Amino acid sequence: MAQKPPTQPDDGHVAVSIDGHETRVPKGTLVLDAAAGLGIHIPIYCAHPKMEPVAVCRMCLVHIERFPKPQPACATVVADGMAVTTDSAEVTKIREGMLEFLLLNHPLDCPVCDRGGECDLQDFTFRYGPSVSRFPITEKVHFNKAVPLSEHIELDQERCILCWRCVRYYDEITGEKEIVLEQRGVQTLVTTFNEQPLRSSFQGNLPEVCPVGALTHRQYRFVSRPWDLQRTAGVCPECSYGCNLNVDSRDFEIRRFASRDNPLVEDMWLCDRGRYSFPKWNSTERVRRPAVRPRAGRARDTAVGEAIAAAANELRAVIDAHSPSAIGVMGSAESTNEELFLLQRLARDVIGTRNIDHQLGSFDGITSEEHALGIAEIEECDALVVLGVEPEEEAPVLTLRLFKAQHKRGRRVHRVARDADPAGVVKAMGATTLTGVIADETNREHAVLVATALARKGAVRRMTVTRGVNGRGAKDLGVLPNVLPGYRAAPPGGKNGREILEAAAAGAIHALLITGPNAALERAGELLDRALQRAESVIVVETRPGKVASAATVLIPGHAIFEKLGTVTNIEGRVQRVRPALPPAAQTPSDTRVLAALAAELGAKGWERSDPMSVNRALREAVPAYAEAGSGGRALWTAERVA
Amino acid sequence: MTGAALLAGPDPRDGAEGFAAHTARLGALPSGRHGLIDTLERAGLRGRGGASFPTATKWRSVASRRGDSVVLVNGAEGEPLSQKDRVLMESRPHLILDGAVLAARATGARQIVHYIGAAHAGALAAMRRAINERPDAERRLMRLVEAPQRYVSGEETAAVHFVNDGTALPTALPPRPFERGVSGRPTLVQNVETLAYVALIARHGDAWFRAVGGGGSSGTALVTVSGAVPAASVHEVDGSAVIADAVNLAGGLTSDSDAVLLGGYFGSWVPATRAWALPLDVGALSKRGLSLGSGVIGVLASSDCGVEMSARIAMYLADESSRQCGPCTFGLRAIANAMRRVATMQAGVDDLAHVQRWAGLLPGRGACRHPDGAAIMVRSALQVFADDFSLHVREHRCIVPAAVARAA
Repeated sequence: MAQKPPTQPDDGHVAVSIDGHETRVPKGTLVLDAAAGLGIHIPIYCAHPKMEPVAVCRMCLVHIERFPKPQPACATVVADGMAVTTDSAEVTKIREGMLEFLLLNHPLDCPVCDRGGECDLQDFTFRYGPSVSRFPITEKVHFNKAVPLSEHIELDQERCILCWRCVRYYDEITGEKEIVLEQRGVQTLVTTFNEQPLRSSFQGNLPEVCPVGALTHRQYRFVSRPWDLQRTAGVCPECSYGCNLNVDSRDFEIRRFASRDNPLVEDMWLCDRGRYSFPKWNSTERVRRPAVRPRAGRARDTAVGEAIAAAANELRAVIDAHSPSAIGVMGSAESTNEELFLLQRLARDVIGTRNIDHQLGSFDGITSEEHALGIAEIEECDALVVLGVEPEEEAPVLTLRLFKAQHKRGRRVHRVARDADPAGVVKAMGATTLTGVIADETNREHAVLVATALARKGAVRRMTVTRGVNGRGAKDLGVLPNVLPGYRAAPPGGKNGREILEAAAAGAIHALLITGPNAALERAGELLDRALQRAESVIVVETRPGKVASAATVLIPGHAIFEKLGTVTNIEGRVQRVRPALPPAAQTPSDTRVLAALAAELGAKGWERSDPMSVNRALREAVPAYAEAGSGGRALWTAERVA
Repeated sequence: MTGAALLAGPDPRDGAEGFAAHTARLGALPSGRHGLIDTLERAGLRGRGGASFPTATKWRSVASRRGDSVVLVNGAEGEPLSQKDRVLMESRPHLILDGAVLAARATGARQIVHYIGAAHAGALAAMRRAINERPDAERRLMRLVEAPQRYVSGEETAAVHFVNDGTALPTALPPRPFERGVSGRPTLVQNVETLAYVALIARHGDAWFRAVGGGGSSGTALVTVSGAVPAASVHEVDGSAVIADAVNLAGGLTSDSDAVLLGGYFGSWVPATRAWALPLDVGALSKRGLSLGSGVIGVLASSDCGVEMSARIAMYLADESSRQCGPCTFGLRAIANAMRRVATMQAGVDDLAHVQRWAGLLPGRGACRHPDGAAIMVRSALQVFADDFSLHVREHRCIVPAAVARAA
C-alpha cells in the first residue's frame, strides 16, 4: 500500500497517481506529460508537443478514477488526487481497437514507405497492437498515392490517419492556410487549400509533423531506410540563427537534414532554405590538393607541408620588404570559433598586422549590446520592433518565433521600415516595459537610433541578425579591425574588409591571407578581382574552387563544416558544437592545424596543440564569456562600448 | 393513456397558439425565480432531447457558475424519424418561450438563443412570430439562429460551437457548455419539449407533473410514430401508454411488422412481439435497458428488410458523423461499409463477427456520443435481425426480395 503523502502546502503543484506511481506536477500539467515524467508512455497521434491539444485520434484514452468514460490524456489536465490508469485491460482494449480502426484503411505498404522504421503507426502497432492479424478480411479503400503538393512535398492519401496535425501546424505555427481536410462524399482527404501548391517557406516541417508516411519529402522519397542512416547532431549552416538539426548521412553523403528540437533556438522548426540545402555539402566540386603557384614560376601541386612553408616564405618576404601592415587577413563567417580565434591570433600576434576582418563593411562602434536579446526571450518582450524585411529574410525561422510571441503569448510585433523614423516608432509603440529591437547587421546604425529612442520609455534589448553561420563568432572573437576577442578595443589603424581589398588593388597591401568560403568577399565583385590580381601573394585556405581559389599563389584545401569538429556561435551568442558527419574531401590536416603550422613556420612559439579541442580550451581562457557559455549556452557580456 | 398536458388546448393542427390565447388559457407566467430548480428536481423532469438527463442537475451546474449565463433553446431536431419538436414549436411556441424565460431567470441568463433547424420552415415562422409577441423585456433577451440541417447539429457542443463561430460540429475538448458555452458564458442547452414542460411545472407544481404521467415516472411525452402506419404523426402519451397505443393513435398498422426502432437512429430495435406491450415511460424503459430517446417509434413494415434498414441508418450515421474523432471516422465507417455489404449480399460470414466486435469498440471512445448511439442501433439490429443477417451472409438471400434491389 502506498502511503498517503502528508498534506503539502500549496506550491502550485498537485499530487497525481499514475498506474500506482505517485508524483507531484505543476498545476495545469496534462496527464500525458505527467505520465511521461514518470517514464510512462502513452501513445498519441493527434497530440503534438508544440501544438494545442484537440483530442480527436482517441489513441491516448486512459482510465481516470471517478470519470464515467475513458478520457484523452493529451487534453485532460491533472487534478489533485487524480488516479490514472494506463495499463489496465480496458485501456489495452481501447488501444487495440483504435489501431485496428486505423489499420483497416491503411495501405500497409510499409516495405516501400519512406517512414517505415520511424513511423508512429508501425511503432505503436508493434508496441500496443493486438498480436493477431485481421488484415486479409478487409477491403481497402484506394486513393492517390503520389500527390505532389509542391516542389518539396508529396502526399500519399492512403496513408493518412486524419490526425489534423498538418492543418494545425499551419494554424498554430506558421499562421498560413495551405492544407485542409476536405470531406468529399464519404471520404475525408488531406488536400491543399484551393488546390494550390504549397508556397510556405516552412513546408519541410510537414513530413516530420506527420505521424505516418502520408506527407513525405520529395527529395528523400525512396532514398533510404532510416536505420541505414548515420545521424550526427549538427547546426544548420545556412544562416546565423543556429538551428539545431540532425545530419542524416549514408555512404558518405548527406541524405537529409532532420529537426533536432532545441526549444531555445529553432523550437524544432526548420526553414526550407536550410532543410533542403544539404545537397551542396555532397558536392564533388572541392579543393582537394595543396598547390603552389608563384606569380613568377610554375604552378604545381604539392604536399601540404611544402605549401605551408611556401605561404610562410611569401608572408615573410612581404614583411621584410614592406611591413606587417602590408598584409591583409580575411576570415570567414563560415569558419568555426576555433579557426577564427587562431586566425586573429596569427594575424595580430604572429604576423603583426591590424588589417583583419571577416566581411566588407565597417563595424565601427560595435558592442556586445547589439546581441543582448536571446531568441527565446523574444517571447518575453511586451513588444518587438523589426526593422525592414532583412532580419526575417536572412534568418527565416525568426518569423515563427515572432508568430509564437504574437499569437501564443499575446506580444505586439511591429514590422516597420528599415529606416523608420525613431520618434514615429516610439509613438506607435505606446507603453512597454521591455521592447525587443531586431535588425539586420547591415542596418545596425539605424537600429541604434531606434533603440536609443525607445530606451527613454522602458528597457530595450537588441538582436542583430548577423550573416553567415558563425558571423556572430567572428565578431565575438575579434575578427574585426577594431575589436579584440571579447569586444576589447583593438589598437587603432586596422583596415576593414573593403579597405583591405582597396589597398590591395591600389598596391598598398601586398599579401592577402584568406580563409574559408567567404560569401562576403564574393559580394565585392570587381574590387575583389582587382585586389586578387594586384597582390603579390594570395594565400588561401579554401574548400570550394572559385575566384579566390583560382587566384591563390598558395592554395591549401580546407575542411567543410560537416567534416570537422568545433563550435559556432549563433545570433544570440549561443555557442554550439559542430561535429564531423562526413569524411573530409581533402587529405590535408584540419584548418586549425594548418593555421598553427603556418604560425610555427613563421617562428611563433606555443602553437603545438592545434587540435580543435585544445584550441577551444585556449579560446575559453582568453574569452571568459565563452568559458561561461560552455557548449550550448549563451556567451554574454556586460555592455562595453568599443571605439 | 393519451396525455394532454403539452398539447392540451386547441388542436395542434390549427397552428400556433398566440400569446393572448396562451396567457388566457394558462395564466400569466409565474416568476419562478425561487425554488423552481427544487420543484423540477422533485418532479423528476428529464431532458427530452434524447439523453434523458435530469433537468434540475443541469440547471444547477449552470446556475452555480459565476457571471451571466446563456440559455440555448434546442429546436434543431436533426433526428430524421422525429417530428415532435417541430409540432410543438408550430403549435405551442409560447410554452417553449415561457420555459426559456424561466430557465434564464433560474440560471442567471441574460441571453436566450433559439437554435432551430433551418429546414423546419413552419417551426421557424411560428417561433419568430411568437418571439415578437413577447413583452419587450423578454424579447430583448432573445435571438434566433437557424441550425444547419445535419444530424449532429443538435448535439449540445455542436450547437454552442455553431452559435459561436458557425461550425455545427461537436467539440472534442472541455470546457463543456455549462462551464463556457455561447460567448464563453456558462450555457444551458435544453430541448424545446423539456422547456415546455418547465412552463407547465412552474404553474402546476411537481405533484401535478407526477400525476399527469398516468402512473409513469416522467409526465407525458411527445412521440413520433412512423413506418407501417398511415402517416407519420406526433402524439402525446402518458406513462400508462404502451407502444401499441401510440401505434393505434397513429391510425394502426398498415402491414405486419416484425420490429420497432425505439428512440431514433441512436435507439434500439425491439422485436414486435415484445414491443407492443412496452410502456412509454423513461423509468420503465430504462429498467429494460431501453430508452425513449427523442420519442421515436419507427415501425418496420413487412415490405422492408431490417438488415437493409439498419445498414441504411448506419451509412447515414457514418456520413453524418463530424469525422473528427478516430472511432467515428474509421470505426463507424467500417461498420457501415460492412453492413452495406451484408445488405447487398456481398458479405462473408466474417463480416458479421467484425461488425459485432467493432460495435463494441465504439461506446465511450468519441468526444461526443455519436459513436455510442450508432453502436446501440447496430448491436440491437444484430440481435433482433439475427436470422435475417445470417440469411444474408450464408445464403445471400433476403426474406424481403424487394429490399435487395433497393439496397443495391
